[in-house]
Amino acid sequence: MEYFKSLINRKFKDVVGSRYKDVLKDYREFLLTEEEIVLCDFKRILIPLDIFVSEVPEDFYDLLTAFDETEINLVYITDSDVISIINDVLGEDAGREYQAKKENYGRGLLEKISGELESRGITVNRRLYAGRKWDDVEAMSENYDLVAVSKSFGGGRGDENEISPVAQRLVQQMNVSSVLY
Amino acid sequence: MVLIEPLIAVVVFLITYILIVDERINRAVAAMAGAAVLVFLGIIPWESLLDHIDFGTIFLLMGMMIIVNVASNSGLFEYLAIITAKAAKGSPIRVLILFALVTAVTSAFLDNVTTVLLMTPMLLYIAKVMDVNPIPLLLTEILASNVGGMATLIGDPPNIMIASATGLSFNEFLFVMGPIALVDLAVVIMIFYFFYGRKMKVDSAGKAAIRKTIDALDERAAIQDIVLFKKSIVALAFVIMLFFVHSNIGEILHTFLPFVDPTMTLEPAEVALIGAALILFWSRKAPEVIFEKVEWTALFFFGGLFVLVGGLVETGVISDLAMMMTSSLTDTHEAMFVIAWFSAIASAIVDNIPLTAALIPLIEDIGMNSSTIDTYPLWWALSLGACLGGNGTAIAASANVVVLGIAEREGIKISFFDFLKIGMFVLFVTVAIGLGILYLMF
Repeated sequence: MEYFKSLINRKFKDVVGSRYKDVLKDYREFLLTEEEIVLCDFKRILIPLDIFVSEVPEDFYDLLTAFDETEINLVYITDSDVISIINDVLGEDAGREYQAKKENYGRGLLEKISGELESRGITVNRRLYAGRKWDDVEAMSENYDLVAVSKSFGGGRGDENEISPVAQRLVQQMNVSSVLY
Repeated sequence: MVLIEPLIAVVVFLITYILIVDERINRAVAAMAGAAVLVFLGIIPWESLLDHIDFGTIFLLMGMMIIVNVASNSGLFEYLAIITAKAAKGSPIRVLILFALVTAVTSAFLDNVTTVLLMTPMLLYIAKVMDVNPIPLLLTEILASNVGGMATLIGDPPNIMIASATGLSFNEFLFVMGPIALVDLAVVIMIFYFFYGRKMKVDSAGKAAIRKTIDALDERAAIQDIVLFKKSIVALAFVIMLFFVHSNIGEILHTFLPFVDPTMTLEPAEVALIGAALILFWSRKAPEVIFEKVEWTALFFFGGLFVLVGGLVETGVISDLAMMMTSSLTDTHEAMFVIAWFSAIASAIVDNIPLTAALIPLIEDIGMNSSTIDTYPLWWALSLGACLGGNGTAIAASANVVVLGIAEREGIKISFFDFLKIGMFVLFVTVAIGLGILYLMF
C-alpha cells in the first residue's frame, strides 16, 4: 500500500506539476468555504429606502430567496429635517408639496421592489414616513436579523466614494448583520 | 552482432518501460535516456533518427496543449463545472450522471488530464455540500474520461498516435469509436447506478438545501476574462469544426475558392497548430506565458519513446514478432480479438503510450506479411484496447493518477485494490461490448 501511495504521488507530480495549486487557488476565489456553506437563519430583514435608491440588483433578489420563511420590511424614509427646513424657509405649502413629491416617488419604488420580492414568494411589508434616516434605521435595526442597505442610501455617493456616508455609518454602527448592495 | 543488436534494443526498451511504470525517474527522462543509449550504441543511426519520431503526434499534442491552456485561462472549465452542478438540481445521482457525461464529452475533444484536473475540485466540493461519499463520483469521472477519450481522434494519445501513423480521419474515429464510447458510457453509468444509486439518495428537504447552496455559486464569477472566454469558445468551436472537415477541406474550399486544389487535405496536427496560432493571435495572451505551460516533458517523453520503438523496428524485433503473430492468427476477427484484449490488459498494467507505440509497427508488419488479415479493423481494436485498458488499474491512465492524487491530497482514501475491483470489472465489460460492436461493423 505504501508503494502504491508513493507511486501515485510520483506520477501525479510528473503529470500535473504545480498546476493543481493554481486550480485550487482559482476555485477558492468563487467557492464558498465550509463556514459560508451554512446558511444563516434570517427571519426578519429590514430594507431601508429613500429618494437616492433607484433600483435593487437582480443578484440581491436571488440572495434573499436563499432564506426560508423570511419576512421583509421595506421602509421608505423622507428626510424630516429637510422638510422642516423647507417649511421654515419657503412655507408649509412648499414643505407639503416637497413631501408629497418624495412620497409619490417612494410609493412607486416600494411597489416595484415589493412586486419583485412577492413574485419570488417572499412576504413583504411596506411602510412610508418622514423621519431621520441615520437614527431611525439604527434604532429599528435592533428588531431585525439583517439590514440590507443600498450603497446610495442617504445620498452623497459619487466618483470619489463608492458608498454613501449614511450607508457606511449604518453598516459600521449597527449591531445586527448587514448587507451592502 | 546481428543477434546482439535486437537483444540490446529489447533490453533497453524493457528497462525503460520499467522505469516509466515505476516513475522514480521522470518518464520523459527515462525515455530520453533509453533513446540516448540506442543512439550512442549506433542501433539508431543519426541519419534515421528523425524518421522514427512521429512529428504528427508531437505537433498535434503541442497544438492542442496551447489551445487548452488559453481556454483554461479564461475559466471555461470552472464555468462548465458550476453549470453542470446546478443542472443536477441537488440530486447526487444526477451529479454522478451529468458529471460523467460532461467529463466524457470534454475528454473526447480536449486533454483528459486538464479536464479531470479542473472538474475534480468541483466534484469534491459538491460531495461535501451533499454530504455523500465522493468515491463513486470520482471513480465515475475517471472511467468516463477514459471512455470519452476513446471517441475521437484527439481524445486520447493512443488515438492520436494511431491516426498519425495510419492517416485515419477525425470522422472515421467519430463514426467507429463514437458509438462504442456512447454505449460503454451508458454501461458505466448503469454499473455505478446499480452499485451506488441507493446509497446516494437524498430526501426532498435535503435536495432543496443542497440546491440552495449550489445555486448560490455564481458561474459568472468563474470567468476570469469574459472576452477571452468568448474568444476561447469560438476558437475551440472553429478547431473542432476544422477537425470534422480536415480530410475533405480542399473539396469544401474549392466550391467558393476555385484556385484551391480539391484533393487538398489537412493533417490533424496541422489543424491543431492552425488552431493554436489562431487562438494565440486572437487572445493577445503573452505567448511566453502560454508556451511555458506547454507540457514539454510529455512531448520529450513521446520523442524518446518513438526512438526506443524505432530501435525495435530497426533491429527487426517488431517484424519477427509480427511474423510469429501472422503465422498463428488465421483471420481478421481472431487478430482483432488478440489485439483488443492484449492491448487492454497490457495497458491496465503498463503505460498505454509505449504499448501503442510498439503495437503500431507490429500491426503494420502484420498487414504486410498476411494476405488473410485486414489491418483496418485492427486499428480500431488497438484503439479500443489501449483506451479502455486505462480503466483497469489505478496507474493505467493519466486521468486515474490525477483524480487519485487529488483524492489523496484531500484525505480521501481509494486503495489500489478498491480501484482494481471496479476498474477491471468495467474494463472487461466495456472491451467485450466494444469488440462485439466492432465485430458487427467489420
